[in-house]
Amino acid sequence: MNNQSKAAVNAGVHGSTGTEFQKHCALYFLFEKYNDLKDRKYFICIEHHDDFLFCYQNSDELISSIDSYQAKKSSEKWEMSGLYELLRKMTGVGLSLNADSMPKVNNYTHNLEFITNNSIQLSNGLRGKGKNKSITINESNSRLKFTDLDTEITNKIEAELTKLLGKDLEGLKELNNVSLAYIDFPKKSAGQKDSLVGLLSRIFGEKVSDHRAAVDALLLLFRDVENTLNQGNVVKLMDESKRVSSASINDAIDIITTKTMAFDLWRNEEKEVCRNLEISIPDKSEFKLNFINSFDRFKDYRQVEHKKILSFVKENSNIMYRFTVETDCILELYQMFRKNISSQLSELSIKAAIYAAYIEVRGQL
Amino acid sequence: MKTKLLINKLFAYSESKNKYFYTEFDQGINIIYGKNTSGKSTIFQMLLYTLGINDNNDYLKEIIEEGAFLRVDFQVINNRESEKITFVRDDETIFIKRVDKPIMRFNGIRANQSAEHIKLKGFLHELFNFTLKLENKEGYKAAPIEAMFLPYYIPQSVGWVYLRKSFSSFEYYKNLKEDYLDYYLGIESLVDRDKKQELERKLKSKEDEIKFYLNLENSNDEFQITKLVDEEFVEESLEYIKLHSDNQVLLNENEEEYISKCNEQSYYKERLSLLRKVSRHHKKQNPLEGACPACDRELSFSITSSYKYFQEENDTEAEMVKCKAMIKKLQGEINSLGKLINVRKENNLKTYGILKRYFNHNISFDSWLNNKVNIQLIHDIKYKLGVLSTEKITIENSLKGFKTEEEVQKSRISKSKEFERIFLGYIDDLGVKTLKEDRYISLYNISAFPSQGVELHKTVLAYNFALNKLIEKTDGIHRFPFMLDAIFKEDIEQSNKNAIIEFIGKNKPNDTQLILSIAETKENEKSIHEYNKKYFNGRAKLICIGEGVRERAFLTQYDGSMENYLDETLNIIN
Repeated sequence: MNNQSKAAVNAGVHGSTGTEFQKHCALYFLFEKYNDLKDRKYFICIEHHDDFLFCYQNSDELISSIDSYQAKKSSEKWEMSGLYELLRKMTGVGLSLNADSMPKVNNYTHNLEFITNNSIQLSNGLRGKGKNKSITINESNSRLKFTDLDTEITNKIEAELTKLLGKDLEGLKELNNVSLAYIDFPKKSAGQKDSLVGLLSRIFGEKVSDHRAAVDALLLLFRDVENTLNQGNVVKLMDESKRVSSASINDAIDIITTKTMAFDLWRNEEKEVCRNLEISIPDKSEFKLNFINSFDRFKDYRQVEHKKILSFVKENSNIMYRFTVETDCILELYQMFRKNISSQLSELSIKAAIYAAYIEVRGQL
Repeated sequence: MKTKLLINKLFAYSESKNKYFYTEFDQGINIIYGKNTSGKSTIFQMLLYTLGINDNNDYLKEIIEEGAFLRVDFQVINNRESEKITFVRDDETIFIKRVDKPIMRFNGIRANQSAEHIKLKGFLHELFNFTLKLENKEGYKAAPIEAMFLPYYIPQSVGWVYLRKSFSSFEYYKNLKEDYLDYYLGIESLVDRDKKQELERKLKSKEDEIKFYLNLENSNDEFQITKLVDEEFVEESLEYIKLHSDNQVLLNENEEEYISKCNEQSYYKERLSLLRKVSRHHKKQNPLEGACPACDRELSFSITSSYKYFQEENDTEAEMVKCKAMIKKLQGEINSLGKLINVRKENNLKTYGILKRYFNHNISFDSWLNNKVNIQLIHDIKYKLGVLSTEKITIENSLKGFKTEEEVQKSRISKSKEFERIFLGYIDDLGVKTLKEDRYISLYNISAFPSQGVELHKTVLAYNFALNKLIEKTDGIHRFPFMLDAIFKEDIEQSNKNAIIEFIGKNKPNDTQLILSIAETKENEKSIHEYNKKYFNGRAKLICIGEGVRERAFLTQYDGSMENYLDETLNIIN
């Protein structure tokens, strides 16, 4: 371990609100790469070595490659002078990744990427016509590798970095793994979330009914790892408490696509309910209101009577397979409930709630 | 006899963010202080907003968008009788609770031209016995609610530079300055009111008569009966009866529709009330930090439970928005149906009256002759109309002369003199260089002052205090709290600050509340206490915003300390 990466070990952990941009970026890349990633084995680290890492594994769980990201939000465009210190840090990360004791494959590689939501202007630092060479990374030219830059610019960077590194120049060769990228992400956290919601709805479409809730839930994947402090200031990729594995990501994606609550669809059943259960005309409007409101009462733990009905229907959902006519099934559930559980609610309210619970449970089977 | 407004409490609560604000006001002096942009002006804007003024909606956007509702408790004091009233404003709806009266509700009041906002204005005018009318291109209309606050509120934004610009809505009135000053100084009452009213009455009756002759076919009972009785008009009589019965059918349909719309609205109100309750409970049940209210166990965190929670939360919010929109839409429909029903009822009552008399008509030679005379009269109507129009123009001309009458001028001059005396005394007190020119000291001529910076600030202060003093002496004018937002400009040095606060302490109105705000940082909190001790005998109530350190943090995390008050508020809304 060298000194440089030690300083960054727990950066940002204490103020976990400051890491929102990093988390949003990590999720952004997860979505971007989703089609490529979904059948691979990998894990993501947050606030570990660098802001976040995507570590790819082979079938024997050896690390085959790592994409390491340094994510910085900025309201001004980046110029050369602001980059040197960041590049020094990133090359340090490259060295400590090499030194990490986690088993790797023989031809292991890594990429050290700086991402930001503002443009980056690179130049050779010379003034005057013909002498100045510069290039800008922005919307239209969103990613550049260090090795693809003009030699006059790379020379300038190497010279400045040599000054910063002092005696230990080992980090210089890590520059070849560096790339710089522009990410089209709004400045405010709420705007970033909106982009993520849009991205998610492109990927999953109607498989998810509330895309915003899905993004909020996926962000929680990073909750535990970001609140865990690195032990004893030593960063190790072996440290599983700082990892989000592809298995848990796949689980979460499974949850957001299967545990979807299609409230609008459920409420739409209102038109059918009275006819199906042969509710008399004078009771109709009360029954409908009870039915619609049941979905809202189910959300609230204080609506104990309704919660009882919902869990009852959930516990007995297996009987649904015995019926071919839905009405028969609902009436059976109603009879079972009356026989087994006492409730203060009126007959009409119970019927409406059982119907609603039936629809909610059926939708999630 | 004056009607006085006394503000007791201000409360804001955002359900979705679980944040709140609460303060009480003293009967006498109230000093609001806090850092720059901590939300001192917001207090004034929220008071006005809750009482139905839409002018500040832009400033309050952040708070309104956080879904907050606001509540103001106040007293209306009239002739030593005092009534407690509560206003609650939830976005486009105002709820009014009076002791021993059912809750009044005005839906869809964000536009000043909406039927509901006009109803609300009527209610407030009556409550405070406010009768000012202002002239715009549609003629003389009841003045907006803002006009009730105009002399009593100096906002930070423009109040210390311009006169009568505290609200943006006064640009389009003709003769605003004269009408407004006359009203608040009681000058209208000095005019020979009887004479003017007599003329107005005459004008009204001429107009009515002209209308009556123009719509003669339908509006004069005698003529209608004549037509029904006279054999020439048999066919028309049958048609007349048919029209009446058709009208009745339509009226029944409208009434039926009215009732079902009201029921439909109740459905949404009931549903909204449940959604609010669920939403409040749900807030405390977030698997990330909540506890189960049924068993007090901590809810365990998992992506599944959080995902379920987020979906539920989003759905509740979306449903609440839908319900509110439906309630507003239905209120519009109910209002227009109500109007339609009233018109139809009036028409039917009239036709019915005519028919009744027709059936009771004893046809004799006399009545036959009478009828024939009426028919002759019908032919004379065109001539009559011409005469009436000429008469109407004459009356209108003599009414025009009224406002410029000598007596009005005389009393304006006397009020101006009185104002000048007080005003010049005040600016002398404040150490401002004396103004000499008529256009800066004569009340009816002043529209701006020549100075700038601190000098202008103090001059405007003196102007407003002098006007307030003059209004205090006028009979029958409502008295609202004197509200001064930001009494120090940023660049005022300490000696001037002392002069201003000493002036306020000495000349504050004795019959109303005084609410003022001062920008001070935490380090200077001591000086607020010193001002209080030195210039207000330590009697001012101090209201600190944002603990003197926070910026743009008007609402704070709700700590559960106001459950009863909050429940009471929610009961008013539900």
